Amino acid sequence: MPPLLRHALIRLLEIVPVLWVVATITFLLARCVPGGPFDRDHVLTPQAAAENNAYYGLDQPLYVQYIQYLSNLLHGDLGPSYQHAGWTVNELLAQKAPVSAELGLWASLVAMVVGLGVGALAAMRPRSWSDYGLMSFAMVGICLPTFVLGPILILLFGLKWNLVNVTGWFTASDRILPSLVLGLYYAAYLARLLRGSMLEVRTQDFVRTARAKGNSDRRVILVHVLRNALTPVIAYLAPTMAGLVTGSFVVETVFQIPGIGRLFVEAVQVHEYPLLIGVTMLFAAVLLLFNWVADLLMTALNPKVLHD
Amino acid sequence: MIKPNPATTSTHASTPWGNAWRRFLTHRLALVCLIFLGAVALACVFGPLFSSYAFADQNLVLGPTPPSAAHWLGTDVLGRDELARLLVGGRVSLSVGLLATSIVLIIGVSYGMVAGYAGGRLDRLMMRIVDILYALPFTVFIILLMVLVNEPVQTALTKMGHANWAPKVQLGLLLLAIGAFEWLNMARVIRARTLELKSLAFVEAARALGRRPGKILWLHLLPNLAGLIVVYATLCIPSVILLESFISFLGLGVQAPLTSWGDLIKQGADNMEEYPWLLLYPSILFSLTLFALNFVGDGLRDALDPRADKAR
Repeated sequence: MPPLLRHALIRLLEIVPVLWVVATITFLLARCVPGGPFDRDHVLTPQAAAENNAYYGLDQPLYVQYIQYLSNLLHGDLGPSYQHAGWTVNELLAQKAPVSAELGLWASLVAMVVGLGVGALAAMRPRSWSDYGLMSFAMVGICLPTFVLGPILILLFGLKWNLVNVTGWFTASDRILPSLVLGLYYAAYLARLLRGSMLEVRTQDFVRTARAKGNSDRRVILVHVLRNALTPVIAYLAPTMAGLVTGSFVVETVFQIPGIGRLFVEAVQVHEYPLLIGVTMLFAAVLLLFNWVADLLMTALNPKVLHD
Repeated sequence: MIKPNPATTSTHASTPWGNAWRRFLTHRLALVCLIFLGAVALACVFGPLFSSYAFADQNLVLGPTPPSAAHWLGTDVLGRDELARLLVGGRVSLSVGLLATSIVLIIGVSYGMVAGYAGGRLDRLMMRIVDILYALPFTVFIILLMVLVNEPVQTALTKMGHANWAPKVQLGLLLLAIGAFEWLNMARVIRARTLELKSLAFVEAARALGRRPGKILWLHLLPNLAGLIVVYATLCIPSVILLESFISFLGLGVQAPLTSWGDLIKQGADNMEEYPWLLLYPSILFSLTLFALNFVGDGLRDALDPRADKAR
């Protein structure tokens, strides 16, 4: 078997035990938080509370609940929702996940295009005005955090100039502002990481060799420098993207987008275990998958790391 | 006689940290930014001593007013002097930013370097642990820390008559929470780079010469990672400052009337239409600090690059 394929398969198999550990710890964490799902809003009579607990199996010993929970999880069943009566967690996620995933993908695209573009261009002429100008532009996303940039853009483009809807997630133009706000924050990180990494690689021996062989400057930068400079960026990007496509609380709140981010915070607030665990497991699965892809990409870019 | 170029001879000195400071001094923009950061820090530490207003003094009759001769940066919704709050908030944000980032650097760099250099099974195990910790719900962890650690400790302190220690305990837990979360990405980034550096000729040479792993990590890999570490640290500080305001919002960390830059910016954003100065000044100070940090980071990165002199 080719070493890269072998590596890919072993790495893929490792995801299973990791998911199991995450599922177990999350189950225990959720039970550690004081307060149950039914002791808020309205006071229940002891009998009603007992019936509720019995209905959802919360009166069983913890280990019975845990085994039941694991076996449901194996079947892909995340259980019923307590707060959204009549809904299962699977149905809730199926409804909200696509929204968050779309927003996250657009935002990732913004972050990558702006961040990597700015970072690479700035690294071409370090310590020049184009470097300072580009990097300053990339900083806007961190200097104006999402909860500031979001409302400002809404005020300008939505209320003042009436170019886009203020909130909601219906038309194509509704995607623009939230994706920009979310993406620009991470663009700043990618730009700085890539620039720093490229400046570092630029002075390595193999780049000098490539240059000595008569390669053009552009070719050296694109093929030799960029390729080797991408590693830290990919290592950072994978978990970040996993977070982006599984919901962003602040941006979803500012723009009133019906995604997972808000659902999750609500689940934490009202002790909705199944929903909390469902969102966590969804995030964990996406995270592990993205990290797997990142790992393979890094190995493919630098196959030497396999030989040791 | 040909004078040896001090820059090229310096790279052959036995310690790779040798002339980093001298190289940093040649980076004029970075130097200006470092002086600016020092000035901001001094203003935050000593400024409140000279202010005629305390950061917590309310003046409900006055209410929110735009900047004036009496209140240079205006007053907030409760009539508190915005300048005094900005300086006191700076104490919190800058110290949380620096302390938490130090924790993140120490744990993240050593963990990432060990995993990357060890490779094989140990690397797999260590990185899967990072995956697990990253996948766990951070918000729930904060709430647990609050309910299971903070509240009992606070009660115990009050019983023992040390209630004035409470804010310090809160701040410590806040640092713990931020540190526990932020080091994960740092470790991942450092590990990826270490793995790559390990396969380069100079590390193989050091290994062939029989250098011990600890020496290789410290003398050969760390100087080559220094640039990446500095760049990541300058990114970590703003994200920690913003994370602080989120955790404080959840109830752990800085509680009113004490404030922080993140908190002031958040309050400003909530009132931006009616009282724009409450958003404007905290944002300007925060942005300028980040810009300065950014350029100081670049200067440091250039100065710490072990092959910096080859680049020209």
